[in-house]
Amino acid sequence: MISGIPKRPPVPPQDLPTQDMPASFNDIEIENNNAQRLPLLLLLDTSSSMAGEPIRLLNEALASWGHEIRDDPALGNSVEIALVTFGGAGIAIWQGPHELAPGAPVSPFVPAQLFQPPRLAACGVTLLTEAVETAIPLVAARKTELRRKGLQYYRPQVCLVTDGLPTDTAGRVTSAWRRLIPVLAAEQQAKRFRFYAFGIGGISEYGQQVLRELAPTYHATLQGFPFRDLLQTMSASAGAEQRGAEEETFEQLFARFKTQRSAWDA
Amino acid sequence: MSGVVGTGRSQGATWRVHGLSVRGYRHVQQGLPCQDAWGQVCVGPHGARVTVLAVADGAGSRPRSEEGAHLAIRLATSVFGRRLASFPTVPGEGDTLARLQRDAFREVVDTFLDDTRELAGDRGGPEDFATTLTVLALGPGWVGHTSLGDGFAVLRAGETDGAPQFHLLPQPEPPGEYGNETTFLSSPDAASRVRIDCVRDDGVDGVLLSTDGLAQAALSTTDGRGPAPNRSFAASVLRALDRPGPDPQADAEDLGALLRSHRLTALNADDKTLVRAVRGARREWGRGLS
Repeated sequence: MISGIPKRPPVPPQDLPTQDMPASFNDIEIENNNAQRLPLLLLLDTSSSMAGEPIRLLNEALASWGHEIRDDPALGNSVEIALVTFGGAGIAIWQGPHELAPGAPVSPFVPAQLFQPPRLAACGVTLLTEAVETAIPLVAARKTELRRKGLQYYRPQVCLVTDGLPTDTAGRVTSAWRRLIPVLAAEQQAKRFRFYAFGIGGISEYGQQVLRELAPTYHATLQGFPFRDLLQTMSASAGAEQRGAEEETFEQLFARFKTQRSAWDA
Repeated sequence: MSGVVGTGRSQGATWRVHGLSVRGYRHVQQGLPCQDAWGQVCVGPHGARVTVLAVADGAGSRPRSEEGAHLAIRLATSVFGRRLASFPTVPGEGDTLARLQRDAFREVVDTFLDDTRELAGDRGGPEDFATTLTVLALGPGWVGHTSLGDGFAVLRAGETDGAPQFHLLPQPEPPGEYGNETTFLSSPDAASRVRIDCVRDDGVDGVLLSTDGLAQAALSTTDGRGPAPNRSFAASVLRALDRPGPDPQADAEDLGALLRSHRLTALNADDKTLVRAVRGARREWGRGLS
């Protein structure tokens, strides 16, 4: 088993945020939510290999993580969540529990405070390449929107989770994913977002190679389907981003998985 | 009072000053100290007093930024204080004050780098002490503003229809796209990124100086045209100093409770610092003052 995110020390009660603003300041009006935003896009494999127990675990983990992040005083107002799934016959973009119609002029990003996950089902092919190509402009569009609103934001995070190999629409394994390598490298170089790739379940050696090449620093292979741990790592990464952590901190978040992997191998 | 790094009042000076730094929720969770700091000094002869206020925000990612923030405040108050002590009552040509601030800032940076190299010894360097620094100098009829990083200052000056007007002083251009990218005293481009401004106005009678932990509460972006002061915030926190209660400690605790409130934490979980200063007759602005 993977150990969870290290437990935080208990917070002394006197240091907890006070419930209300003091009465002497109750005429302060604050805009609804102008917190700095942190767009987080989950790119989830919902192809047939995820059917059964894996998709049940994923749905369960999304629901509990949704509660956690919503109630986190530091993340609830800041993190914005969008989902892109690849399975069935193609790609689906989710705004909370609702699937958006193709080309809908609406952002799929939902404030963590309001996030409710969809009920995902698993079947069909693994259009991983097309899913990544869908995600990149969604993130760019969200940043443009935030700038237009005069809101500051942190570097977005894109988290790819798959247990299989990229296929075409007929379900044949394809090497089209190779065209993503230079695109993702350029996006990372320009710091447009952080790109994380997780291989789960019984992902094959070739599947792991795909993730290694797409996310040379931030890839990890997890045994089983520890979605909760994986999503909590995204929360930890969001917290690190908020405090302006150095690259080394993000590497450590992933080193935890890699170390664990060595232990299993041993 | 838990989380309070320092409070201070300078009743004898022209300006009444009160400041507070509190540990942000994120640092509380991680067991980290408050990495913000603030300070003040009052210099110059009677009748031409200059009050220097400074706030510093140590970089959350650096191991010794708490020390860096406190060092920056010590240096800023002593260097700006020394140089401003003999500053003429009325600044001469427009650029005199700007030049003084630029020279003072360079001295602060140079000393900061020397001191932090020495403190670091063989391990690390000045970047481990990374901190922003914003300094306000309040003179008779003028205000000097020196800002590196993402601190900000709001002035209260003038009235429209009997309501006080608030003005956000220009902030340095951010070095990058993201909200958590800023420039520190230890950054190689500190000297070119510092923003220096001078305001000549007899009507400035209230100021707020803060680190970026309060940007979302104290500034407003409603119109999407960049930040402007949140009038209700500025008016409320200055009113408490215009008309202090009978117990200064209770006033300080009230401000501390505001800075640690759920409402403000939800907007920004970083450390928060607010220095507020008012001068002149106590004003009757705002609600509930009768």
